[in-house]
Amino acid sequence: MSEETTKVIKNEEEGKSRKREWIKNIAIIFLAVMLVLTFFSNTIMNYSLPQVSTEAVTSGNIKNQVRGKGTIELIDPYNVTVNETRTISSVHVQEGDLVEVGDVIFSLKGEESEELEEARTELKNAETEYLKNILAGNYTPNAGTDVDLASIQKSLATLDAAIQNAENNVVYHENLKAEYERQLKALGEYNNDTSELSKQVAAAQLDVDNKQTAVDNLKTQYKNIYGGDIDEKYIALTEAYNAAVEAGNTPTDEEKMGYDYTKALDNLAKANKTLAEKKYNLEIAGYNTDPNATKKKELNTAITNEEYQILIWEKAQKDAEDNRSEYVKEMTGKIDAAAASEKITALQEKIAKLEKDALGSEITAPVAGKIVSVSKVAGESTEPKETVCVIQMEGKGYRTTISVESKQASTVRVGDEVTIEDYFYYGVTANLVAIQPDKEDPKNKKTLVFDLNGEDLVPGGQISLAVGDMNSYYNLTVPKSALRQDNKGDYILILESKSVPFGTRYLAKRVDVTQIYATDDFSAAIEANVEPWGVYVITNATRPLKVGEQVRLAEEAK
Amino acid sequence: MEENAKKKKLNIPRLVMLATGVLLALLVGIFALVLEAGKKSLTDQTLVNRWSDGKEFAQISLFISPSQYVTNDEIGLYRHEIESGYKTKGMVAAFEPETGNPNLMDAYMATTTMDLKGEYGSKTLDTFCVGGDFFLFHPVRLLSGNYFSEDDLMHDYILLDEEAAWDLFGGTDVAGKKVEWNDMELVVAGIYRRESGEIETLAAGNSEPKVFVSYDLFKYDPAKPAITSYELLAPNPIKNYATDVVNSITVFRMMP
Repeated sequence: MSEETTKVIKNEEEGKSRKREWIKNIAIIFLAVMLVLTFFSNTIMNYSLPQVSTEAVTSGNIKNQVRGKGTIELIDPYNVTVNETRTISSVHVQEGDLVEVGDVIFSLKGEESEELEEARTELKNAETEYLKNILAGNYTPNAGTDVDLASIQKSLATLDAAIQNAENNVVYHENLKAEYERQLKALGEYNNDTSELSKQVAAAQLDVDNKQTAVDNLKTQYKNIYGGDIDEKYIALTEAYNAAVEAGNTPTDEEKMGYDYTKALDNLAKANKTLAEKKYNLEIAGYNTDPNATKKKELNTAITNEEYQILIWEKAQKDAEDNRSEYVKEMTGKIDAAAASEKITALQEKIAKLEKDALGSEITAPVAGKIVSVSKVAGESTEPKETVCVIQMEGKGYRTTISVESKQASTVRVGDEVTIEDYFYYGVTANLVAIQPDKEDPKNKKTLVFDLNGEDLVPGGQISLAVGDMNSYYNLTVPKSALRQDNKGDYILILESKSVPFGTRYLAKRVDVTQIYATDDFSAAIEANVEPWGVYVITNATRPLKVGEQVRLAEEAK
Repeated sequence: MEENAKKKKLNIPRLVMLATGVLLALLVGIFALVLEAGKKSLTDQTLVNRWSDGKEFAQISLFISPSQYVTNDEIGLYRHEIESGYKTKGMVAAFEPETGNPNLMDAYMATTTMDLKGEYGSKTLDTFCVGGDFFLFHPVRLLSGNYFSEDDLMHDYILLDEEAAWDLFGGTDVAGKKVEWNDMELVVAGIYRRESGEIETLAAGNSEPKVFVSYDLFKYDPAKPAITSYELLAPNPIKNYATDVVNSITVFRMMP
């Protein structure tokens, strides 16, 4: 064999050897990879499975509760109030003290309140003012029930009518007089001007009338007081009067009246004399020849009469006005006196009441109970109608209210068990006593009213309560997180285990929930085709699960 | 002697290929895990699939401007209008045979901030005020406790995220504890773990702790927060049926 042939054969053998080497290597690698995958396949698969946490299905109570927080209030607290302005000298109680009826709560400075002192001063001033006005004639005392608006109005109307009547008559006679004067003027001037004389006659006539009136008044007055006719006695009475005066004695009223009557008669006589003189003068003046003398005389007479009437009615008007003023003054005096009298009476009653209700030197407990609050300290002053202390009466406790939705209120009943959720209210109990419409939103809300009993309750504090039916026992309860839902309805996933070589496999099995009876914060009572023991329900998972999917337990992953 | 020496010498190429193969296998396994993990972030838009395999129902989302000031009063109107819309359309397949009503599910949300106080501390937290079947649409990963619902008797529940629970209570096992807010006590319904998803983009989008409360907490508050999103799961027996019903309703047509 040649060297070349040997070389070729050797190369062919080396080539075959290299191919066999590659195949061997590939086979080894393949087997190694399969070995690795086989060893790690379970681990890889486990890591890809969703982790689940489970809890045992059980039976028990569902606490279907309504919760809320309310403010603690006293039931029917007794507010101790004062009606006086007084200064506190010392405080004898503090919050939490028990008191009986009559126990001293506060000591007060002085004996009388500021209100009583002020009332007494005001009464004294009112009485002084009243007396002053009576002395000044401004008040008509003992007005009684005269002060009547209707009668005053009626009297004023009458007086006003008299004034108006007199005024109308004045105007009437002035108009007549003007007419007569116009007629007189129309007759032409004559040297003999008698108008002045006419006026004098009219004035004299008026004077006579006034004097006569005075005489008549005295006569009437004498008759009313002493009876009889003064004309028969005035002379004697006048003599008696003069004698008394000369003797330095004080004449009697009758004698004085007689003297006045005598003077009045003298005055009347003088007035008559004057009138006669004036008439004569007028008459003489009218004797001068004047073709219209007679007419003028008649007109002058008429004018004189009218002037006289004018004077009469002007006097009547003045008298009526004076009467009205006197009446108004009298009625004003009566009204003011009545008001002042009423004010004095009211002040007297106020003082009597203040004296009756006076606190004296102490404020005592009007009821037995526990002092809940004291709002004054020594040195402070009280105000009328101010609450100085609050007492929780014996037998009365505390109350709180919680506002809830109507739907929530419909799940509770009066008498349901109530739980205090605040740990620091140790020993405190509560009872649901009423379910009322909520005042602020009666359509959508209700108010639950609870009575509270215990030692650590403080009005104004907050308390958390839960109320509801806690006696409902159910055969099958699961955690709420185990409930699931799809378009077929509610269901739970239970853990189904299968033993396999090298371990256990877990599957999520669906169990339909036919009814959910009740739920509370964390549990639900259900009806489902599952035994209430030995079954574990899946509560949480790392991702949504499919029915029948293999899962791993959260503990196993750890 | 030479052959033995050759055998004893390490086959480096073979070792390299062996190591590459093992590495590839591990990478395949990790890739499979990542793929599974990616499924979690899509739960927000898979309700319709979770509810009905996506065949008979449709999920519709409405985003509402705060300036429109929509509150729970308007939600009541929406529900009534949608139900009336379905009854007007009259397709029997859209109605439940037992009740004669369309099987409608909805959810709505508003955002605000709340000053909360727990046993350990106080914090102002971004708050989602939710209503309807919100957690059916947007399930969050509960670590403990449970969701709350519009149908619950009480509406004073709060769902905290882990960080909020730590801030307020110094721990996360706090379901059932009380949180103070505006003279009220809210009951911690559960603790959840925040994960990225659409729910984050619905809110401020920041990484601050967030809590959920029922919108009914503000039912009687004159300054209730404005609802900014409304979602509806409605029967869709034929293509675009649900969309047509919604579009036919005046109050939705008039929304900018």
